Amino acid sequence: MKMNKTGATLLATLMLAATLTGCGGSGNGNKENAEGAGNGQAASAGPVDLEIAQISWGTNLPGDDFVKKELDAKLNLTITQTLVGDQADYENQMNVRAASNNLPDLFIATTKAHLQKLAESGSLLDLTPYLEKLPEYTAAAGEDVLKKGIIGDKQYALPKAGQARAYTYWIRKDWLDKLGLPKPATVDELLEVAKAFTEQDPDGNGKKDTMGLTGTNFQAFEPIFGAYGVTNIFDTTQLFVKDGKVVDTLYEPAMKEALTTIRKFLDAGVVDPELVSNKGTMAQDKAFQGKVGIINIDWAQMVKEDKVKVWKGANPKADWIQLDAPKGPDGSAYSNAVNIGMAGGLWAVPKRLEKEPEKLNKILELFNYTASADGGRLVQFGIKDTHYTLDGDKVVITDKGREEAGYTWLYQFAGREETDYLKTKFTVLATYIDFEANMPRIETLDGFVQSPAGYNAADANRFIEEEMIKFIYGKNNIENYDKFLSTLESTFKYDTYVDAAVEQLNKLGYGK
Amino acid sequence: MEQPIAVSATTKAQAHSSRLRRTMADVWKMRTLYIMLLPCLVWYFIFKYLPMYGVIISFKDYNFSDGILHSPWADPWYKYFEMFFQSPYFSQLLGNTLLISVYKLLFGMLPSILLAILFHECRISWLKRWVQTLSYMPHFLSWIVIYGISIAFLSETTGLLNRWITDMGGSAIPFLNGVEWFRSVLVSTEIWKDLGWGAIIYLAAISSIDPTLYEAAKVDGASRLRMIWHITLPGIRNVIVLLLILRIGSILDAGFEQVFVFYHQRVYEVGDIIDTWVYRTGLQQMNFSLGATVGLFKSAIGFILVFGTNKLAKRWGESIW
Repeated sequence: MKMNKTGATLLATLMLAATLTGCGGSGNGNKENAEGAGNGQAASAGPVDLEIAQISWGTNLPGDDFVKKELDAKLNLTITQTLVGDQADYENQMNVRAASNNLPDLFIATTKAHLQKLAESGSLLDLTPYLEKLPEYTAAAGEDVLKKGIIGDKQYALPKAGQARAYTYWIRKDWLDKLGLPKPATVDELLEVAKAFTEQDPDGNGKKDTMGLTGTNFQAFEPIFGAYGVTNIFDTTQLFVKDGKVVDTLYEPAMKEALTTIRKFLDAGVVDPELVSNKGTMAQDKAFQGKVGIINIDWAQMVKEDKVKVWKGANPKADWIQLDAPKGPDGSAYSNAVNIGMAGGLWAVPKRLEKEPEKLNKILELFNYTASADGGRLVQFGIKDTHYTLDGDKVVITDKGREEAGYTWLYQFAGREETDYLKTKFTVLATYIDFEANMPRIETLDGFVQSPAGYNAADANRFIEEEMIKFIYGKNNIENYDKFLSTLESTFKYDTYVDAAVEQLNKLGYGK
Repeated sequence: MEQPIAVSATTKAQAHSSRLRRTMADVWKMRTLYIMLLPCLVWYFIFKYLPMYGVIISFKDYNFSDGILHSPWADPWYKYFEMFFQSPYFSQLLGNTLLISVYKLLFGMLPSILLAILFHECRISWLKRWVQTLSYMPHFLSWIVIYGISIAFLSETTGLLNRWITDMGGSAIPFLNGVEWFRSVLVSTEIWKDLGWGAIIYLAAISSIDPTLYEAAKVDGASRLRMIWHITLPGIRNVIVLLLILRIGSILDAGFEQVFVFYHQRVYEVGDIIDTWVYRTGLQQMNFSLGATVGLFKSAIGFILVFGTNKLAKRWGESIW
């Protein structure tokens, strides 16, 4: 009898446990939209069907899609957009469709690695022979942009042109005024100001509760690296051209000096102690709440209307201004690097379009048209005289344009002239946008590079970041820097990566 | 020599077939019960057994346009196992994973048992109801939310706790930033989250203990502590052992979601676990074969552990099967 009861309890418990694990186990089911392939062959006379897929980041097409209507009419098309809000979901869907040989006619590869995988698996059409049919697009994009879409020697993607050049140090002008300090122009002055912000109670509340500098991880120090003519330590910012040669920032002699200087900031106790653990907008929040006086951030996160409301609301006297990149000992000054190899929108075409020339031709037309002045304005601003008016060459956005044209970037296949576009969209902020766009910046090339086989980038990156943190927090002496490099090479095979990178970049024409 | 063997073989076969027949007869007799079991078995087959064929990608250079079956075999076949075992961080990852798991197991189970007993002993039923409901609420919060709460209390610059400490003249403690505190924070937030939830299962087990045992003990003059010791605890012993065995089976799961939300570069050395490594190395770099390999490795270890602990438990007279 006793045995039975134990058995019953066990059974009951087991069933409960099964339900529990059942609950935990579900929820990651693969979301597979039963989207039609849209492969119906159009009659040669009628409009050509094009299915286009991309990540929408939550943007939806409006019921009255005036850009689509215009494009369809102009180019004799029927465009269907397959939009997925989230990058991971999107990648999943594309991978599933690649596996079933059912890719859309034109779609975005999310990263260079994604593009590489797809190209290696033979899913993509090599577009090199078609480039000559793309005069407007190639002229607008330029060679540097086209390079981003090359894998091996083949043009597997048509990248979007245009890249934002933003980010610089922003500083609390009201704090500077209160303490009677000038705008810091060099790294040393920056350190002095940060010290004053920490110790001299710039917010006047009688408590020592302010900090000099905040940011998210090493991003906070990017202009300080720049002051020594080197770039940040991340795997997106390690390679650049110096004196006609491709160099790696970790091997630059000035790197040690840069790290020593950053350590001075940390030793002085003027940096947010949560620098490394700040996530998302935590650093920005601290700045907006009036706890920190200097932050490396871009105008879009600082002076757009909704942002100003937040920090003015927390402190009506607050006044954030932009700083020029601080100068180093030899006068170098660079703000955040621009990763010109970064894959911002790589448009790829599936291999099967080889046999469907009418579709392929329409895609080429679409790129040429959106790269032209007329088409460019259509996909950036909307319909002329409805959403914008032309004043000579200058575009003036109407109220209706501001309201309705928020989604049109989904049609910017050829990309856009970033700074002009932003200045037109955010007219009031033009000076801020220009300030950051004109800041000197090193152009990094990491985005062009494909890792060699056997190199584990994740492990190497972890080692680099951890060791760098040790150097700047004083847990490891900078004299051991060469030992760090040799471990990086022997244990993590970083040398194979650098060799491969230099070779690949030379081939693309960077540094010979 | 041959004769006896043949004879014993036939008798064995006969015995075997008669046993089979008996089993079939039993099944037929209980057919309604087995039919009720069927959907569950089908569910397990479709969702747990069928996907197992995907395990073969850990021996292949998986390539999504070729699919699982047509991707080329890895050369050598243990390529991805080697990649995992030879990562410079392998021993550290394993150590972190085991430590965090064992801490969670040790410090997570006892409080839940204790809480269940307290609920059981509580005589004010409305209080018991309320506290019980409140205690398992945190289980439904996501780790992101709990991280937010932890920041609000424990942050070095803005946290409530640290503000008290500094106001009283102490210096702020880097609960979330420091190597020293990181695992403690992981374990304690986990306990906070799942304390009440974990107690439910024990409470269910306790409530199935025959009440006449308590009555008899009361008649014999046993105090409440005595009753807990001699009736409640032995009554739920099998459940405790069961849960222990199940949890030991998943000892290489130290809680990906939680660690992923909480960790950052400064605490990698104490907080980086196998699953977060797989995320960075396997998923972020689209190395799905590697991810599958590590999953297979973890399952194999888990299987051995469940099997082993069950054997051990059998010696004490408790076991799952």
